[in-house]
Amino acid sequence: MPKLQEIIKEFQETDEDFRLDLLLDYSEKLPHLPEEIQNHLRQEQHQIPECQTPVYLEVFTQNQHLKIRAEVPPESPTVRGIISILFSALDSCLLKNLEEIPIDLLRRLGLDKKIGTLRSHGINAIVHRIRHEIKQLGAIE
Amino acid sequence: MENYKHPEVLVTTDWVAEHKNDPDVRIVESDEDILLYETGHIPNTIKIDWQNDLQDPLIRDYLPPEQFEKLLAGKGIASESKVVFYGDKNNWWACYAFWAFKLYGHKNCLIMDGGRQKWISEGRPLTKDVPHFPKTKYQVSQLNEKSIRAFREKVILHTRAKKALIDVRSPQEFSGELLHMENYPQEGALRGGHIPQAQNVPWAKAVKDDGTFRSYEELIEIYQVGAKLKAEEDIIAYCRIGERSAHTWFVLTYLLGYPKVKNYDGSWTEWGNMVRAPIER
Repeated sequence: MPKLQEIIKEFQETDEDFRLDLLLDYSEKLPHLPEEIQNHLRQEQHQIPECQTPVYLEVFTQNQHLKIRAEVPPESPTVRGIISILFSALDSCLLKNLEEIPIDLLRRLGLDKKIGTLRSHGINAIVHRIRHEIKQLGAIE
Repeated sequence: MENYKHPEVLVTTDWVAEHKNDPDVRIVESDEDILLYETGHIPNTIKIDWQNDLQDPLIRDYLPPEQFEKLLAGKGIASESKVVFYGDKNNWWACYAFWAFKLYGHKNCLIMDGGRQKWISEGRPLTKDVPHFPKTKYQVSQLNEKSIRAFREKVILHTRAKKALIDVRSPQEFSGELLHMENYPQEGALRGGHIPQAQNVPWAKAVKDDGTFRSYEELIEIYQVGAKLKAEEDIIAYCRIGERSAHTWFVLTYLLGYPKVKNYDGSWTEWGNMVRAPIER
């Protein structure tokens, strides 16, 4: 089963009350970037303007593999968690094996009710941006 | 702090450090990020989530009073507890929770000036331990909805009467420009712009870089001189869903002592969707 589907299944099989804890676990797993990469990322074109927190993101290819680099402040564990899920599922994945990110990722993870429509704006913008950048790379039709 | 009209509603990080084990005090963290409390919080602090705890899950409203009583009783907050709110993003959500507690007439509400950011920048301890306080018999004594909350009918009359409104969203939201950005997932409003006569003062202008509130004199300059809001007039504050405007409501009501400020929590998500609602751009 593709990795993102596996993670979605993991969330769906987790009791609703513990799904946020699982998201917190993911947020702690997002790798810390070396300083020179952080400096490179902190440019306007990598920022997600819709997000309340300063989130910087870069999606590119390396030897036919997808690479994702993201910097999210520790004060935003929810956003870190979502990016970490996408990172775990898609980073270093062979382009030809890439799976599409569902646009309603939060709902599929069963987190939409807890996070709520009013605060999911930034998160949806991130999902949208990563999907869009992957499509720009021509990896997925 | 001393020049504010009601300095008694603000406490410092020092005060919280000294009183965190005081049984008459309950410290409440309220954040934009739903997981932030779990990553670490001030010792002996309880979490109140503005959405999952304070809002009715079915109807767009706050909890019915008896549900609020149940929530507070379960958290160990008594009717006479001093409740100190703090949170992320310049106490944005802390002020929102403060306002919501005031709706139910909770008397002793305080804000920790500088919020989470100041506590952390001072190198003070955080813990992941969740305290469990004994249950109380919380009773709502008085509902303050009429004096601090505005509903759309009132806002329509207010704008027709050319009374003061303050829109605390970003200048781009105020001008309506944001609704036209490409690739921008919309926030559920069909029209962009602002309520006629509203002055635009983005909410975060009221705070300094360290997260604490600006001085009384600076706030007077922003709201009285800049936005021409007079102390004695009826003022309605709004934003997108009433959260950022709760922060401005707090500043106007307590720091500047304006007695007649209401928060319109329907805000732009209601106004920008309402048929025939007047809009300016």
